[in-house]
Amino acid sequence: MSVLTVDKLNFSYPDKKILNDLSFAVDEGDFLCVVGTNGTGKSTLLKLILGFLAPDSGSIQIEGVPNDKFKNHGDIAYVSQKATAFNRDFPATAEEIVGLGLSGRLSLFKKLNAANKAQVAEALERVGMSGYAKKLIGRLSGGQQQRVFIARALVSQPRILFLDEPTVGIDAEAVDSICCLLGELNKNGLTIVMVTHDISSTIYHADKVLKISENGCGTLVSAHDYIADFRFAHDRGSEHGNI
Amino acid sequence: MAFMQRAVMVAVLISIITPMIGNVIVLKRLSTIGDALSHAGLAGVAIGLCFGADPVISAVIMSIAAALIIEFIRRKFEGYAEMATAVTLSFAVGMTAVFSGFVKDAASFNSFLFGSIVAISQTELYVTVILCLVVLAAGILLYRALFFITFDEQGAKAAGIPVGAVNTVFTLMTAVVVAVASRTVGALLISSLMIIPVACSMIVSKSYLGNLIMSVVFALIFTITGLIITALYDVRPGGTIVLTGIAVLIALLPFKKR
Repeated sequence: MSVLTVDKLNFSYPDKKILNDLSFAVDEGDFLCVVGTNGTGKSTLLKLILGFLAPDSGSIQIEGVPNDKFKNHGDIAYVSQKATAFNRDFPATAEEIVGLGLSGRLSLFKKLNAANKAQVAEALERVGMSGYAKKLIGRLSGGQQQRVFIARALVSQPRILFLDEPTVGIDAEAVDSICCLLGELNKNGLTIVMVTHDISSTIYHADKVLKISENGCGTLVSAHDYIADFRFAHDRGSEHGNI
Repeated sequence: MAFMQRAVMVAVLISIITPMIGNVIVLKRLSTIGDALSHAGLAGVAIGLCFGADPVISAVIMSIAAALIIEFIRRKFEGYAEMATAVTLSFAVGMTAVFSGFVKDAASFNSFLFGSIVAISQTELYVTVILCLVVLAAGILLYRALFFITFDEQGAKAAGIPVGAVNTVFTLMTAVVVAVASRTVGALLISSLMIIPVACSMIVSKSYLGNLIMSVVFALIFTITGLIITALYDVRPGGTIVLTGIAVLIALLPFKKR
């Protein structure tokens, strides 16, 4: 069953056409990587799906509902590219940050109760950060911060997790560990849509790859075919892909 | 109610709501918004005094108008929030310059420049108490939403928080606080009372909630100390409160971890 359907999506900035008749579907339990060179509209696609931008034409449906009418915010979670771009002195602990993730499940004015706090502790445990609950977010390493943001996304027990370049600016060891964590979450049933420019660490956990080309068109292939295609190109000695 | 009791009551209320607003303003890196709104409040005072209206109420109206202008410009130039405050500040200074020329009671106008907490009337006390309680209630109810938006606006949007509406309510809250507190601390100093307690608490606190609570504690310390000094030495309260805050900040700075 498709949990995300994008149909003939077109989007332009004033000076540039970004997405061109893009269509694809994500089924429940999929791990989709969206790849493409800089400026091809990978992050823009996520912003369109999440309703931050309005498309020129085309439709986006989340769980069968047009994205501009979608209200089950607790069913989706988002880790933005700028999540780790906050000021290092921001005075908030890891557990406070994770607690924010429950906003999609709670009404605007509701305070966190004891059960919510237990959910926060469980989410931190899931990403291996329970020992850092009381630490200020700015004092954690880039990889640890990203784990906290993933915990913030997981705390509302979403069905679909959207990530925009979650491995940017963190060291190679932390990248591997985050990709393994995402792979494990996906195995447990979480649908993942991840924008990335570096697919090498993620490809072996993914099911599908959406390649967005310079002209804004997209090609959806299985991760298996993507790897085979890369190996074929590599054997012929050409530079193709980045795994 | 005796004037000193009124002064203490207003001071305590102002000390609770000002850093509550200041916390969000500082962490969103919008520290200049307090200056823009306080100058708009000052223009409101000048207009009120010119036309015989209650200056606190006209200051509230002008600050709210300025807050809406800031929101409007900010949405037009997303990512350049500072420009919106700069434009509004210029507009407010222009309005103040023009209307203050027609104010006959210069002493009354000056009391809004640097504050006159000990001269607060019974009516001003009622207005201040009601507005402070409304802002306090809004701040408590919107605590999580404001925290999320301050930390990660896009994440908050994705979680279904009505970011535009919350931002507008917050800007209106800021306008009300600035206008009300201008009478106490003075329009030229109010943004200091928003920023300095938060700067102090960021040195000592270990969480977002802790930062909020400590900034209120610092604001209370500065204000009560300032009032005591005012009563003892007959100096202006606004300046004394702010200078007390600056002294504490300087004393704490060596403890700030990089």
